[in-house]
Amino acid sequence: MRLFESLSNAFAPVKEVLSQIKKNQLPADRKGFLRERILASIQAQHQAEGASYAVLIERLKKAILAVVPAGGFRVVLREKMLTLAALSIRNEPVKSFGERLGLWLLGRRRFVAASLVAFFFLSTVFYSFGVQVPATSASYLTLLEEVSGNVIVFRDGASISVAPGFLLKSNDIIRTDRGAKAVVRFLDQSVSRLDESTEVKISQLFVNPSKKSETVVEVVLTQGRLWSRVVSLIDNFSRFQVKAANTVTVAKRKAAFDVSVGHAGKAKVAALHNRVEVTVATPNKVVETTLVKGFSAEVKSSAPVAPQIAPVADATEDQAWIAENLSKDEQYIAEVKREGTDQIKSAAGISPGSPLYPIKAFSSATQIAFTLSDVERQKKLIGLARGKFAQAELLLENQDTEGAAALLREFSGLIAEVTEWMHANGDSKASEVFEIQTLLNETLALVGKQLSLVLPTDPLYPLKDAIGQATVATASGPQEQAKERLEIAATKLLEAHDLAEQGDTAAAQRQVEQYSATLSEVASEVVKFPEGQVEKAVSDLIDAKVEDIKALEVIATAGDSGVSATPQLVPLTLDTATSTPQLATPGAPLGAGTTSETVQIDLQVAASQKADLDKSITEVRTEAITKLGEVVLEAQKQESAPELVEKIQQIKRIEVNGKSVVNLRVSPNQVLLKTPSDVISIVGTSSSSLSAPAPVLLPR
Amino acid sequence: MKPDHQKIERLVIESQHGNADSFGELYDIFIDGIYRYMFFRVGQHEAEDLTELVFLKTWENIRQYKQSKSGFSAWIYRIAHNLVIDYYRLYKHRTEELSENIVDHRLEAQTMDRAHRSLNNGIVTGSLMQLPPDYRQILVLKFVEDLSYVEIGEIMGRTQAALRILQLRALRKLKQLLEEKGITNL
Repeated sequence: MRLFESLSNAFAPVKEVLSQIKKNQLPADRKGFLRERILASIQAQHQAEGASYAVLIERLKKAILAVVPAGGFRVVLREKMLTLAALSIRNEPVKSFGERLGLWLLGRRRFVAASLVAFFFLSTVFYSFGVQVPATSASYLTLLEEVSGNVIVFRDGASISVAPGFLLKSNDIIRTDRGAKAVVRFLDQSVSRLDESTEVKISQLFVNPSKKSETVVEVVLTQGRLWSRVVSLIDNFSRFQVKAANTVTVAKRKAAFDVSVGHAGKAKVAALHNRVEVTVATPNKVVETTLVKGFSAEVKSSAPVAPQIAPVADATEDQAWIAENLSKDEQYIAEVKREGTDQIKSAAGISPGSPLYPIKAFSSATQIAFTLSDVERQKKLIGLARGKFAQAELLLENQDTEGAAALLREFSGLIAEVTEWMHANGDSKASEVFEIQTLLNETLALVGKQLSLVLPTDPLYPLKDAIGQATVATASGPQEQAKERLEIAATKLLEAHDLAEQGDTAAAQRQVEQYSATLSEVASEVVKFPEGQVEKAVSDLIDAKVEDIKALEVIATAGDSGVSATPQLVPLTLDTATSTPQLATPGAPLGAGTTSETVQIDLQVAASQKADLDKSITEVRTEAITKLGEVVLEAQKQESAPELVEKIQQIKRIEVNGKSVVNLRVSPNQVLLKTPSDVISIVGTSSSSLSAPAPVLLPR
Repeated sequence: MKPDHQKIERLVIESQHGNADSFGELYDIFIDGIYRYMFFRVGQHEAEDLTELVFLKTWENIRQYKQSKSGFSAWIYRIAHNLVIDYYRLYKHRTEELSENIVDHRLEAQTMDRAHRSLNNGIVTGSLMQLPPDYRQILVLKFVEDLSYVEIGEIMGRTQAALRILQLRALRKLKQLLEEKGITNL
């Protein structure tokens, strides 16, 4: 008890202090006020601290915004989504990814470069970056070039009465009333003509900001009739496509085609120049085919069957529409060609013939020598190269081929100097090198596009050749170089087509042979690529082969029309000394000392040249098909390449005008290719099949 | 520029009624953001695959979306977030290294301000990838995709107050990492 009392007394002061503290505690309202002040102070500190991060945040935004979807992924995925959406709407009720297409799409999770024979449903086109085109870019405008009658544009829900020159944007809808017509010129130099009572939506206008030759234009035809002429898409990625009902028509490179939508969703597509790829989504499946010039595909959206493919109808109304548009196309193409060469010339500055030229040259060289910044120096070199190129064009127009050749050598030298700088500084100055690479790519692509309509028979062809070589030389590695060379090979085929159409079958044959030589070189080099690049290169090669097989079919057709449609007598000079016929150039003087007389030889010569072209095409086609088989066999060996396996599965059959031109059967160690006339068997060996023993041609 | 909220909701409604073109417009609005989100969550190699999955899932489930306070943006990013969670569950032992040499493909890169040349994009994004996932997520969603705290709260399952703290810590940490790499003019 006493102990308890003494302990209690010992703690009495503590108790008293505690009771005092209790008495001195803040009242509740003061507590609340102090709490608010403390929180406000913390918040102010946070805000101040946050404000101090303004520069960091700005920098962070820029860095993160630099990350955008790579390659054509953005475009490809968009198309896939829209296709899936359209199909699932058609096949209501919507099911989950148990649907065949959904599962198939899920299985395909990666897409690689270069286009495939089957387009957006079953294949991909390749890489670029997705940026909507700013209307302020003068070279890449889409506009209403001509308007007659009542034409209205709908934009963001509002209707606008328009006049020629009206700038168009994505999602604009153009409608022509009865009796009205309109012409749209697109950013890729393609042109579309709307018939009366037609409605079209511009659903996509796309330019790769890093490589402006890569473009995608898409329009949706909801009613009426639309003629489209694709003039010069210079690389494999670019395309122009028209959607109508359940069809999609895709044109690459060059083409002319007509699309119409009738009652009850009936769509009709006709190819009138070169070829187009047509995909039709029926309720049961997706059908794809290539339509060549002179053939049409007709389909009803509700029909469960494949499209009906037939020669273009002879109906008077159709023929009048076709003839009118083909004629306007010729005028338009001439205009585009002239614009292209004029644009190149505009960079010439003082022409080489001018007395001021040496001063200008000295001034340019001095400026470059005294430019301290590496990047600025490279830019000046590119500018100088462009000037040399333009000057070469002036000389070629004046038939000074030697002077032009010298300037083109200087041009190549300047490009090589810039390329060397890029290779030397790739690691240490990555962002600067990227800046210069982009500028170089843009310059070469722009000039390449401006020259895309020039043929080997044109005086300016050396310019086109020089650009092609420069593009290959500036590619960033062996795989990119191979890709650029495949593009050049494809261009040769396109030139062969145009030459054959003009009736110059001999020149067409030369281009076909050059194509074949380039392709063989690339195919033999691909197997020597560093590991990690072979897969991509093989993929590009497969794509190229498939496209080229179709292109060869078209050339064969074009050669027929070029010879038979406009029979011409071929004037020849007969050298009586050697009895050798030589092609006479109209108006050219006869060679000194040559005794000759001009002899008119009839169509037999033209037919003979056509036969030579046909033979070349047959040989090259067999070679292309064989090489396709070898590449496919090689692709199967790439164990880490599921994308290649996908690609092979997609090209089991190559169709033109609804008929198979190549059927592919693939087993682990053999590829069997069936054409209408041959069966080719390629058997794999332990070494690369691209240098394998010759394939066996089996009797049918 | 942040897309108009009303326009997005209109496109969603049209998509729900089967308008594929409207869905295409939604895709155009969100593709870059979703790709960036995936890029900084799972790395370059898987970003494309997962981005594709986001849009596939979005289309599959779009009829289940109901307009809410946080909006469609939060909904689609929530799908992305969930896919990332699933991805990590499946591949938790995999690591992704972000290359510091990210190439800036934008048009603006051609006219990059010289004053910022010293602060290479790769260093910034490399430092970003060193941050914990939540820090990365808040910085990307808030400062790049310009989402509100309400929207981010729905995506990450946190309160607005917690998000503000998280954001501040993320910025502090990022600044610290950059200072360690010699970048001090921030």
